[in-house]
Amino acid sequence: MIRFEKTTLGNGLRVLVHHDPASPLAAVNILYDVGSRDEDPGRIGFAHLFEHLMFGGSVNVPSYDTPLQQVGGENNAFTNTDITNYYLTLPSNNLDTGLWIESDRMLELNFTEKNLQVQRQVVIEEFKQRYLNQPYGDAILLLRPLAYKVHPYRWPTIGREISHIQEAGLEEVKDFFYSHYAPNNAILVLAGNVTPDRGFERAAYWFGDIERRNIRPRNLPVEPPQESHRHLTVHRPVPFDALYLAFHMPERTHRDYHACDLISDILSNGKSSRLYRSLVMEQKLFSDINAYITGERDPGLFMITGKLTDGVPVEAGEKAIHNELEKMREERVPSHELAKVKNQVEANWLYGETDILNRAMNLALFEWLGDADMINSETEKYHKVTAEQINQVARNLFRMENLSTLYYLRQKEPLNHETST
Amino acid sequence: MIDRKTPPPYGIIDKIRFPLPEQEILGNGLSVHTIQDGVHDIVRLDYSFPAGSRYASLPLTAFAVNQLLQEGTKKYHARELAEKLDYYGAVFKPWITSDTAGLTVFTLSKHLIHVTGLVQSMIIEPLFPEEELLVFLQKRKQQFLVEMERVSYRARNRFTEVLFGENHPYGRTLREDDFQLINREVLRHFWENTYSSSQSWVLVSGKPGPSRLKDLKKKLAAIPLRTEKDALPSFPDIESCPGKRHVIPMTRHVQSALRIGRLTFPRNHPDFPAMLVLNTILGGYFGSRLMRNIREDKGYTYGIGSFILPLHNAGYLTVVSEVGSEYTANAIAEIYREMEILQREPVKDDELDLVRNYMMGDLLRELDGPFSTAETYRHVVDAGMDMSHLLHIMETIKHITPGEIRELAQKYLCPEDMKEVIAGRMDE
Repeated sequence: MIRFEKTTLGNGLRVLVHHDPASPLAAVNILYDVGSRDEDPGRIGFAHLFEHLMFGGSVNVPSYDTPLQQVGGENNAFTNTDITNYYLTLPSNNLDTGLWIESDRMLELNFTEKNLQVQRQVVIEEFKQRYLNQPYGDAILLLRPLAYKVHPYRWPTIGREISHIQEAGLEEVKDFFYSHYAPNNAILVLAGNVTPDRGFERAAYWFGDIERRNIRPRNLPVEPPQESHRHLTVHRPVPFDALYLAFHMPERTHRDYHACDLISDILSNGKSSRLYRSLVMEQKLFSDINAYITGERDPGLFMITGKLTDGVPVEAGEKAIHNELEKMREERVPSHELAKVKNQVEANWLYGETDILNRAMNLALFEWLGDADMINSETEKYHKVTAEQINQVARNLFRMENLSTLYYLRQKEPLNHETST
Repeated sequence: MIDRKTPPPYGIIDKIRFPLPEQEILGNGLSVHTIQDGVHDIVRLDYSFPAGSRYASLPLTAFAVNQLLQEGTKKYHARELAEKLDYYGAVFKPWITSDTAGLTVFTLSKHLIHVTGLVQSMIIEPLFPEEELLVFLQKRKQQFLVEMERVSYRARNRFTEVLFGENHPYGRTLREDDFQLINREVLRHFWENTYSSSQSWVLVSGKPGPSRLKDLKKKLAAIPLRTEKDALPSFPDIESCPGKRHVIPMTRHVQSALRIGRLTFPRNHPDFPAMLVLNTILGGYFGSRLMRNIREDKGYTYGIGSFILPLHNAGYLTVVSEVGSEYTANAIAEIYREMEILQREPVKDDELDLVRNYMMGDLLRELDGPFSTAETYRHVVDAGMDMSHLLHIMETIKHITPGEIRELAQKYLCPEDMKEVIAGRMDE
């Protein structure tokens, strides 16, 4: 049970405080309701580039990081398709420093042309380090546009091509700020050694005078139901063939979301899971296999990815996966197995609760989903999933016309380890 | 109007309160440390054995033993172990370093005794079944060949080879041929020598509750340990590879991985705490000299940092980064420039104050809650030290002077003492 109190400031900023006197720390988490789904198709990668610029100094604070480090704090941020989330932890008596720098960058940014130029380059290096320079690194960049044709989830958050990032200008970046960064488009969570009274008072002090802004209305195209199986084959200089399956699944707040998540657990959470047991240990078709959900706000993807055992044809691996999916559709999940994945969810939830930053982030996420109170009924929702519902949801998910398949095959050219000495 | 120009007043962290572990030697000689703290009914268990890669003739042997403990025992088939651990919602993580290997388990307190029973069987009666071994080797070999396509992996491995020598226990890295040399007998032999060592120890953290803790200790006391001290193999001389720059050409890659560093010392060396401060200034946090210069000013990389890795009988300091291929030469030059500045100019007071506060804040985070404390404590005890080591580090952070930092830089940051590894392309 995570207790918290909530208020909304006059400018629309939602403030939640979770008091945990056992910790000497305070966590400050600010979620902005903007992600790569809010980008223009001609400016892909902007939301994430923008996250980098948020550290480039604000109107009254020339450097974001320095004052925080000065008081013993640490921070980071991430951007995904749906949100941009900034977080920090510091000794709780220095809470004001965290609120000062966070409120100032909500008030107004003040980065320079040089700043923009450097961060464009940093983001390009991030793009290379995480995607282009890794074996199999571009698979997700290929899958999204295969699975989505109209919804902005078709492009990855990091960007699609380096040119969009290279061309980003100061004015359009500023415009992005004023259309998305505002108290009325954000959720602030304070957690740790902060009482609700103190938290609300300090939040109002620092954030209360920031004016409400006009948020660009979100009008995202709805992805039409997929009508036939999509397939893409690419060849890359990798040592082994790999296979990627992406099925469309319901949005985060849909009543079937938790069943989808449990299906992914039945298939691949832990060494007792079905895909690992059957396809890795017994049939030895894959050296590595994984099922997971993207869990996005709008209808997301149910993913299955695997690297084939050397010499196994990709079609054989594919067929074996489809056999397992057929069982998910047609055979009733044994009650012991269903209880197992529910236990795993409950235990992992509890392990996660030990960390105040994690609690702060989750509170922000659930508030963003509609109501922070849902944080305390989340495991209950998993418990309520029945074996019948699992079959029903699996039948809806695992249809060929709902599927995009990527064959990521080894290109016949010497690899690094074969050429270098 | 509120004053947004002036930083709000703040407090300095002077003392950090952390739970002191209790220690008990059980009848079998096993040392059990407990940190009872926290609000949730969950427990973390850390089993630690002197079974690191340095004690095996091939690094793969030590790794395979550590991984295969969970793949079948006299009492349980691999499938059963996996089923039960997953059913209890336990998180089971084998881990290994050059010196030590172990098992870390998270479990709900109510399942503690069941889960411990499974883990105990893995430690005292593993079978290393042929079939599971074959699957493991196939999987691991494929992972290895994928890793060989990553510039970061190649640079990391080559760097330890270069520093310690290709055949030194701290230097040797995994090679493709190693996969043919592993068999059940090799594994069994290594397990017998290491997982019943009198130097093994267990750390219990979280909230087991008094009666479960008692039952747990009873169980742990039944682990048969050797009574005599281990006859540890002698530590061979370090023979670094000759030559300063070692390039692994990977021409298709758009970034190069860099490692630039040198040998240092174990955790109990008198310079260790001060080196932590010097390292933080150089590359140990987001505001470090390397980050500010090479990422935030030049944009050559997504990230650059440095760290000190203390080992039982040695240690090293290294700068790590992946930089755009076209910036490789410039980035290396800037790394050396930052070392030279630290050798030449004393750190200014405002930067040092910031680093002191940042490091104290970092310790506060590391010691927040029983599980973070356990993680920190594990490294300290593993090095043969106790929590007074942390107090010593705190005192150093608070009192080190700019002069002492410069002296340390002059001693340990000479560019001519550094070895370089570059995996990727050196575009000029």
